[in-house]
Formats: sequence, C-alpha cells, structure tokens
Amino acid sequence: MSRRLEGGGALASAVLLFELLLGLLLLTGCWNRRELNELAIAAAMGMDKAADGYRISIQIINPGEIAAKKGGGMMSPVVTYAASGHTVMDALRKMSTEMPREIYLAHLRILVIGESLARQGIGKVLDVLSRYHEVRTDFHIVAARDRTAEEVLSSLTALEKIPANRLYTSLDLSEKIWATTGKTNLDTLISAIGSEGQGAVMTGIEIVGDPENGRTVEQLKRTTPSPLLRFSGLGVMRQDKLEGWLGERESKGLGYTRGNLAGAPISFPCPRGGYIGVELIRMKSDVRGEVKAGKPVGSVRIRAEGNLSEVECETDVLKLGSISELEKETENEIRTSVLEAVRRVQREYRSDIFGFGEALHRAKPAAWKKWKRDWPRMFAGLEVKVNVDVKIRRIGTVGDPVVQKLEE
Amino acid sequence: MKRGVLKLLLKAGKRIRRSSHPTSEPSVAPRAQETGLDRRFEQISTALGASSDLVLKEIRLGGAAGPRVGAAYLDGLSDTRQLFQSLHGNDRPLEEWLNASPEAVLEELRRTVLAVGDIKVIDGIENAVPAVLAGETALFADGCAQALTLGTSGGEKRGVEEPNTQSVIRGPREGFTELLRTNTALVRRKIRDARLRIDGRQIGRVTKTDVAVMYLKGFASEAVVAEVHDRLDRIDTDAILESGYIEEFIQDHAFSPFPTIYNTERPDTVAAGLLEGRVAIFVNGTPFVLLVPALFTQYFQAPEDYYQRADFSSLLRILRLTSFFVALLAPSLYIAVTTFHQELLPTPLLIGLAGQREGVPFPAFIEALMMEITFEILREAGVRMPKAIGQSVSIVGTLVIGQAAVEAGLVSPAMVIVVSITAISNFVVPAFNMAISLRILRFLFMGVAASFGLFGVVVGLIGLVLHLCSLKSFGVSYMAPYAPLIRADQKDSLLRLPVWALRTRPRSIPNSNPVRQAPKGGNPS
Repeated sequence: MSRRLEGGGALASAVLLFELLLGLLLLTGCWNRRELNELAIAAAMGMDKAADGYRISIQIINPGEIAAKKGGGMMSPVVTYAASGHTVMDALRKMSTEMPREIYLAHLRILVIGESLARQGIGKVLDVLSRYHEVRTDFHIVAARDRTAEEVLSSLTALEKIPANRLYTSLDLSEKIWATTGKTNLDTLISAIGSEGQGAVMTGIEIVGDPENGRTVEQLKRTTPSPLLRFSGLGVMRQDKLEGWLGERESKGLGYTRGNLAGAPISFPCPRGGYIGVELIRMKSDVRGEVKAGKPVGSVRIRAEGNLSEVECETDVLKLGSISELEKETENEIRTSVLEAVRRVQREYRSDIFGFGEALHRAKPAAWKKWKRDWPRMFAGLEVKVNVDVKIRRIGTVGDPVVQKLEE
Repeated sequence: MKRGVLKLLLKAGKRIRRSSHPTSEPSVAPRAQETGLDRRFEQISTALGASSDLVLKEIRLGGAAGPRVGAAYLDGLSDTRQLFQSLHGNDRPLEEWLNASPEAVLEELRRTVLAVGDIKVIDGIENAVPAVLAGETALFADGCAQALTLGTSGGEKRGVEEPNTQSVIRGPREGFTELLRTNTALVRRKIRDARLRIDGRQIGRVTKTDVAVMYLKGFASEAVVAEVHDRLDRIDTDAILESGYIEEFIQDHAFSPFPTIYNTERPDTVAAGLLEGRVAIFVNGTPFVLLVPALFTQYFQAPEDYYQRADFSSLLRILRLTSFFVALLAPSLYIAVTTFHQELLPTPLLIGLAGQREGVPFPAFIEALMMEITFEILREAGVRMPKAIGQSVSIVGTLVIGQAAVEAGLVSPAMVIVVSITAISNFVVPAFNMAISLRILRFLFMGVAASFGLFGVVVGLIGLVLHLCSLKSFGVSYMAPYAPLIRADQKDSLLRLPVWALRTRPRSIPNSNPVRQAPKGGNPS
C-alpha cells in the first residue's frame, strides 16, 4: 500500500510521458500514406519513340466502373493517358497535368513497346523500370507490331474489362496451349540483353482492324469486336534492338528448344491426304553447347509425351507399330521446325536466342572465353544437332478413326 | 402434536421491537442487573442502532413460569425455524428448569436441547454483535454472563444455476453462487480428498467479507500458497464487494492490459486448476472465483477442451489462437495494406477494394475507427440494456448501421466485413477479461498501422511479445510453457493430447506432486 502511495508521483509523470508520446504519433503525418481512392492504378504502360525523347502512354484502371455491380457500362473501364518527355519519368510526371491521381505502377501487368522504339533499342527505357522502387518485375513485355504502343493501349477488349489484364492472361494461356508466343518479363529481358550467349525475344502484338474504333465502349457491344488485339509471332532482339520477326512455325521451333510447349498441338500430313494431330502434354528440353574438333557445336535434346488428338486419315492406330510410326513422324516434325528456326535466326538475325552460347559458357568456360567476343558470327555458322524423343501415351477415347468408318 | 408446538412457538415468539415499545422494558425485569435478559436486549439493540430487521424474542422454558431465555437475530439472514422448534419441543419438566442456575440452563441448552449445529459459547455483548451480523443467532439466558451463538445462517439465496459466462456444450451445468459455503461445497463434491484445504479469513474493515483460500495440500506449491496468504494479509480496505477487488489488490501487474489472475464461474474449472497445483480464492457474495497462478495459454482453453475428444479440442485451440490474431490484427492489417502496401494485394482484389472506396470521404484509418467505435458502443449498450431488448437492439443496430453506412457512402463494404469478422473473432476467446485486453490493443495496433504501416504493426507485435514475456503471475512466467519453453508441457498447450497421455502435471505451474497417472496400460499405483 505504502509503496503504491509513494509511487504516485512517478506514476503521474509516467502517464504524462505517455500522453506526450501519443501526441508524437499524431505528428508523424503518416509518411507515404496513400488511400486506395487516391491511386491511379496503371495496368499497362506503352513506350514509343517521340521527336524529343519518348512518348509514354499509361492505361489507368477506373475501379468504380470495374467494381460496379449495377449501372456499369456507362464509362470506359480504363482510361489511357499519354505524354512525351525527354525521359520516361518526365513524361510520367507530365501526365499529372491531365490526371487527378497519382500513377501507381506496382500493379503493371504489361509493357508494350512500339516497334520503332524497339528497333532503335530499349536498353535506356528499361533502366527506369528496373530502378524505380514501385515497379515490380513480373509484368510481361511485348512489342507492338507495325503500330505504336499508344494505339495498342487505346483499344478496349471484350470479355475482360481491363485490356491489360486480357493481354496478360491470354499471353499466359497462349504460351501454354498454342506456343507461338513467349512470356518475357523485365528480369529475363534485362539479363538477356546483358548476356553475350543468350539473345532475347519479345512477343509481338498487332491490331486487327481500325484502331480508331477501339477507343469507345460501343464496339464491345458487337459479337465480333473490331479492332482486335492479337499476339503474333516472336520478335528477335540483338542486344537491346529488335531485329525482326519469326513466323508461326519458327516461333514454335524456338518454343520446343525452351521446353515450355506442353499443351501445344502438332500436326503433320498423312501419306494420302488429311492430317494427324498430336497434343503434347509433357515436355523437357536440354540445350547444350559442346566443343568438337576445336569448333563449337550446339545440340538440343527434346523429350516429350503426347496424346493422339485427331486422325483425319485411314490409319489403324490400334495396329502394332503404327503408334511408333506416329511417334517418329512427330519427332520429325519437331526436329524440322527447330532446325528451321535455328537456320532462319542464324541466317537473318544472328542473335543466339536459343542460348547455345550460355550453355557453352557453362559447359566449357575456357573455350567460351575464347569465342565470346565473336559469338554472333560464330553462332551464324554453328552446327546444331537436334535429338527428339516422343512417346505417344494415349490414343483418346476411340480406336479407329471416324473417317475409316465412313468409308466402310 | 406438531401443530400445537408450532402454535405455541408463534405465541411465545412475540416480537419485541425496541423502537416500538420503549417503555415496556423496565416493567418485566425482576433481575435488572447487567446480565438480565432485558438489559441484554437493550444492549444489542443499541449496538445495531435499533435496526428494524433486528428480531428479539423471549421464550420461557418448560411453560409460562419457566426461566426466560432470549434470542436475537437479524430477520432474513437467519433460518431460526429449527432453533425454536427444538426450544419448544423439549419435554423436561418445569421443576428441573426452575432448579437449575442460569449457567446450567445455558449448558443444558447447548448440550442437549438445541438441534442446531455450530454452537459457540461467548462472553459479553461485544462478541454477540458480529455473530448476529453474520446471520447467527445470539441466545441469552436471564441472569447468565455468558451467551450462545448458534450457526443459523440462512435465508434467501440463489440456487446453483448454469453459469452465464462460460457455457459449454458438454460438461457439468452447475455454476457457483453468491454464497461462499455453497461454492466451496461444490468443489469439495468434486474432489473427495482429505488433502483439500480451505483457509478462511475475513477481509474488509466494514464489509468483513468472508474469503477462503482453497488448495490441495501436497499438490500446490507451498511457496505459492504462502504468497497468496501474504498478499491477502496485506489488503487493508473498507470493503470487498466482489472478487475483482481482491484481484486488483493482489495482481502482479496493475498496468498491463493482460489479466494475470484467472476467474471462473465453474466448479469443474476450479477443481481442474487445484489438481494442477493452482490456488483458488473464493469471495463471499460473488460467483466468480479467482485462480492463480494464471498462464497466457489458459485464457485460450475452455473447460470443454477436456470433455470433448482430443483431436477436436486441439483443432479448437488452434482456431481460438487464429481468432485471437484476427481479433487483434485484422483492422490494422487492412489499414496498413490498403494505405501503405497496395502492391501486396493481388491486382483484381486491389481493383475491387479501390472500386469500393470510390467516394468514401475518410481515410481508411478513420473509417475503421468509426466502425470499431460504433461496434463498441452497440456492444456496451447491448450489455447494459434490459435483457429482453438488448440482443435485438444490438443486432438491428449493427445491421442497420453497417448497411446504411455503406449505402450512404460513409464506409466501404470491405471495411464492414473486416470489422464484423474482428468482432466475431473477439467472442471466440473463451475468457472475457482476455477478450477485453484484445479490444484495447486492437485500437493501439490500428494507430501504429495508420502511422507506420506494416512496419508499425511488426514493431507493435514485437513490443507485445516482449511485454507478455515480462509478465509474471505469482512467480510463474506468464508465457510458460512457451517462454520459457517447457517441452513436457507442450502436450497440453496449443494441442491437447488424449487424457492418458497427460501423465504428468504441467510443470509451468509449480507443484509438489508431478505425476498424475500411471503410463497407459500400466497399473495405477
């Protein structure tokens, strides 16, 4: 009891101190605090060449329109702003003159680079993105084919309200099941640009139809919206410059060497008309660089499993040996497309997008040291061996082809 | 026969109220000295300030001419029916009574006549007054210096009912009452062992409240029992009206939001505590019994944990701990993430939340504060309101205010969800006093989250853990068996293993009898 009474003075001053500290809490001013409705969430960013630097366009999400449960559809779900400046940051900040909120880049889904800027070189503009603390590195980077990025960003899309989101998810999906596109994010792009033994690729995006129409919500009311955004082909980069585009078949060939084409369909003609289709379900690839007789040799080993997905001709798939025949055909098809891709790149672009140089670097560092300065030329004349092993596991839910039954 | 006795009893039991018959006293006083009955009545009446509930009754033993004895008791506190029945029912002849001296009469009454337990012989009126105040009856014989006090405490009391605060699905339904003796009996009924000790005492200069310390000798640590007695001895106050008074006087940390003394309404919880070596403190006049030492984990264990199956109980304990964190942190995490760390949210969720916040005029912190305070108001009102309307008003209030606030654009729907899940989680914590500390700390965390974001929340959590680890309850580390880590006690902390696996008593609580049972399959020795 007496202890408590004596402690009364100390207690009172402790309480006072606590109150003063409470006051301190109010004085902090909540450093860096931003409410959700003060943010302009950027879903996509576009970069184009401008006369005096860059023209940056930003697709801002209109959350009120997206989240509205009823009464939506009146306003566009996204708004695209654009501004030019000497640097990227310049342009971004200049946009504040036309925008009520602060641009928030952490949720960027996709970065579109205009073809003219891409051909000129993107190393400089990527610096700001990798340096700025707010930007993550998990967005996809694509190149606008024959168009400016601003035009791509101004197009609305159907089904997915946010165009950037639609691009992000459909790139994910098409890489998995169609295979002529490839995901490229900031990290892989920057490391590929900086590497001598590995070239970078970027998926191309094109606008089908008149881009002018894509600016309004009206066009989304049709069952076949026009214009459409479509991914098409892979752009091959040498260092940070876009060199040219690969066709569908060559893009696939590149995909096989990367082993990420599980789910992609492969088809080849039957001996007497029609096609046979195989759907790959599992795939593993191994790119190696070796030295043979004092010369670099590249090799690709691909192992894949697949299912028979369609048969348009009279082949008795139940017959012993016919499956192994099909496997051989599939292997052949894969090998040809890989070789075609390699030859085209070697001949036209001279950029080692397959990563033979990196593989050689890992396997034979000493030899790589000797060749790395001259690698683009060495790569152009590189001998490449392709070894494919395909297993067809299932033939589907029917045996004989439907065509066969028709003819009987 | 019996009716006749009763009639006689009623006739003899003529009430003498000193205030109403001030002049009747001297006329019936053959021996009007200090020890005379009328003098006694006058003294006791003066001592109690002529209280209207004081009953003074005069009886003649062996008929109308027999020696006079008088009883004094407080109406409503004493149950005197048996006393008067035995006085009037005695069949000794009148001569025997007349021949005996007043001392002999008293002795005879004490030894054979009175059918009342707990009779004490006292000297002087000053000892009779406290006894009468405690509900006993003072019995005087005319002309005798001594008097008897009879243990007639009784009167109206609440029966044993189901406890309101700690209800269970499975388990005993009885709860403590306001009467100390009933409460100790409830525990004794569960532990029929000679080693169960009850040390009684009175605390409070004015209220003279009965307080009992209960423990199992040979189980509880002597040091803890001594410490409890020592702390109780040091209490010097006017009044103890509830065990909360005692708790505040003897708890280790007055300025911690966390309770370091456990309280319960359930005899089975007390019995389990005693068997783990704890010490219980009963206070007359309240159904809440204190249990020390208290551990942090104890507040997340319901009595039912030991009655349901072990797997289920273990999952429930994990659920309660989860709810603890939800109740503590949900609003502050929401504030921190939405105002400082938007990059942590998946994009679709961020867009959804941002869409909801369109047009909300307040920062998230103010929004959360408004909703939390509204809820606290509703809750407090629900407790204070008459039972019949309390519940419905609070439910309607929450619904209407939540719904209306969202539609008026004052708060975002997500915030309503956060606040409701917080509120519900808070009720999962079984101990009310722990739930209160959560409610206090939640606001603190909301403050640091709004000022410093997740950084503030983490610093706050570190501070909280440091504080918890610094707490002690009667010499026992509050965070035991986690800090210090006691491996053997993990069997019954976050998880509860089957009863046969709980072979040893928890070491977190000092006890002098470590082994509880034989190993599974072995013979109990």
